[in-house]
Amino acid sequence: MTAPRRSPRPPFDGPDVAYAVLEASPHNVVAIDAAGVIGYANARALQTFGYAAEELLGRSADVLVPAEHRARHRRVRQAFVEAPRPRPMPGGRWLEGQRRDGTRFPVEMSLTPITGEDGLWVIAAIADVTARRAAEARERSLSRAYLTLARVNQAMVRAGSAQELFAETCRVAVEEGGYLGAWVARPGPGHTIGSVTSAGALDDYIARLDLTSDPDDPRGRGPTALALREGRPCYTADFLAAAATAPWHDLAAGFGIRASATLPLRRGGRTVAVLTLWSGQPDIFDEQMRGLLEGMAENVSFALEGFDAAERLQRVAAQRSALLSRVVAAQEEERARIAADVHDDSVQALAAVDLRLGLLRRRVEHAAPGVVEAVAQLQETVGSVTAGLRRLLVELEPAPVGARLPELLREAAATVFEHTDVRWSVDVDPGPPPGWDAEAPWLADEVRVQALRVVREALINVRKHAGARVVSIEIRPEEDWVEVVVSDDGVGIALDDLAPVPGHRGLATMRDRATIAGGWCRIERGAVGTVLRLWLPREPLATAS
Amino acid sequence: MSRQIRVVIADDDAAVRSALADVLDADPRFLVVGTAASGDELELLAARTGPEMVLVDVRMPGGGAEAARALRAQAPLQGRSGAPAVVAVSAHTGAATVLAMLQAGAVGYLAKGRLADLPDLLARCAAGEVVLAVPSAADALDRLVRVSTGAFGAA
Repeated sequence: MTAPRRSPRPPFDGPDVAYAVLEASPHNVVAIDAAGVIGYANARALQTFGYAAEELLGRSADVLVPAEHRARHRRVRQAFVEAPRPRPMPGGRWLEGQRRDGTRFPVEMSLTPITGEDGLWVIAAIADVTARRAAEARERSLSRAYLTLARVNQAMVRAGSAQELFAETCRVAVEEGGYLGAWVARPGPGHTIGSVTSAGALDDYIARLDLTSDPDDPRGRGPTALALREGRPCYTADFLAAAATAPWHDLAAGFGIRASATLPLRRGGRTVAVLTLWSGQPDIFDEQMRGLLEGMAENVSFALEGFDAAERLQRVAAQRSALLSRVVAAQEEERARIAADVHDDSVQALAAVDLRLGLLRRRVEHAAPGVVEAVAQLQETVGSVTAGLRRLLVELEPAPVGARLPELLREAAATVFEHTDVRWSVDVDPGPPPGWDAEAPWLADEVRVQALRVVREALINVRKHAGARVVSIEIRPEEDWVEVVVSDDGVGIALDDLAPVPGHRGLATMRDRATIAGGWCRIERGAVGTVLRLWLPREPLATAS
Repeated sequence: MSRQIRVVIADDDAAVRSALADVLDADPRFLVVGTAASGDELELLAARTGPEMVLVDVRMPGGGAEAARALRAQAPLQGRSGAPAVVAVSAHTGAATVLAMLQAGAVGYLAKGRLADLPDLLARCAAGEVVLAVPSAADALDRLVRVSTGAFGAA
């Protein structure tokens, strides 16, 4: 049994209590003389560096320093001896201690000069900062991970598609998270695994992975295949030693890969892809990091669901919009066809009759004054029939391209109330919102046509049934929608009139038109007369509230 | 009696064409020098006969507005003295249609079915007046003013 190793009394003067303090110090304390020879080491220092006292005392302090740092150590020591005063030793990353077995550890050191009977001694207090450095590194990588998470969340808000989101997640992981590489992969046909996007310096590595999702193949049992298959995160703390990554040990070593995290990305409850992050630092994915990364993967998955919902909504809206366009186009075509028939067959014939009646009237003015009145009446009748057909033509005409809503409604009112005593007005209140292009039509084409048709139908009802003297058409444009209110001072509408009447489709058609355009239409009894409220979105994509 | 007003009539409907011609022929103020069924025919005819007035159907083949523009371009002199006075005679009375004809240089727009006083209305056009006998005329004029002044107000 050997006696416990202990150092001799320090080779300088001082009270015993000082010696006791040095021995009890939690630091490693070594005393060296001006020439750099070790004269004392406390028990802790001997233990830390792995020497017995007799092995260390009398040797150069160089033995405690890795070979490549010795020259620098000597210079620092020399500088200190020339201007001795207590100070921390400048260091940084190169300040390392070396144990007897050759292993190294990061240190921080402070130097204190003491002048003894045989000259200057330098007391070096050496702290092993391995644990602190590790904690610092962990803190750094954790805060980088937080930053990565925050940036990925921003990317989620900005990204317009899954592809964009994946690409941005990879980019952020590499740039903010400091990973060697990031990769999103998804299952392909058969047992293949396809690359979606990647970032970092590992594209060559990724290209050479040669993965499969076949569980019977060793290359199908790596983290990527496993995460895809089982939908759970897979971590390798030491990539170059883990059994699961055996097929890629050699390849990964060449790229400096030491650890990996593979996280499932879900959509609709299914794992649709996996995100892999490679780090050059082993053991980086501790409990806290895993929590963060899994939170990030969940956020990405959440965003994917969002895209799904948004896509569904867009698809439905696009279908609705396409349907609306088709319906409107078909209606307009049909109307144009009817208009052409009315014009070519009826109006032209009546116009010719009207002209010839005028001719006849002038001829009979002298020859047969008695029939002039009859011819005039006939001409009046033809005139009013033609006027009716002309109104029909205007009504059937396609809404003029580019005309804005107030102009369309003014024209409609002018035509409908031609030759009547009805006073009408079209007002815009308030003016169009500032963001609107003043020269563009106020509504998407399909919506504009429906607005025109509904209001015209309402005006025709007023002319035919209301017996009104004043009709006001108010247009209320808002940011994303327009409301049109048509009120008259006529006899008002009986509640029964609001119910569908067979063969009388006017009101129902108006409601249908508003609905097709994504809006609504209501007919109410006003204080006097009737009020029609028409609400339409500017774009047909918006849905009715 | 002053010189007769030489008129060309363009309408794709034969019944209308002949009725218009008969009405004007019966009036000593007018001399119908030809009729056309399309814009192209009208252009050739006008070049040959040099009328002072042209009645155009807005929706005839070739288009009323295009025909009116072509007549103005064809005129040897710039301004009203060179080109014939173009009067639209149409069943289409929407403001946009009226506006298009005014922009093409028409000085009259008469609605089919209200032509009892046709000769008088045309005589006024020939004398330099503008006659817009259609219900949407005010609206069309309003738009014309907005276009020319660049004013696109709310109402």
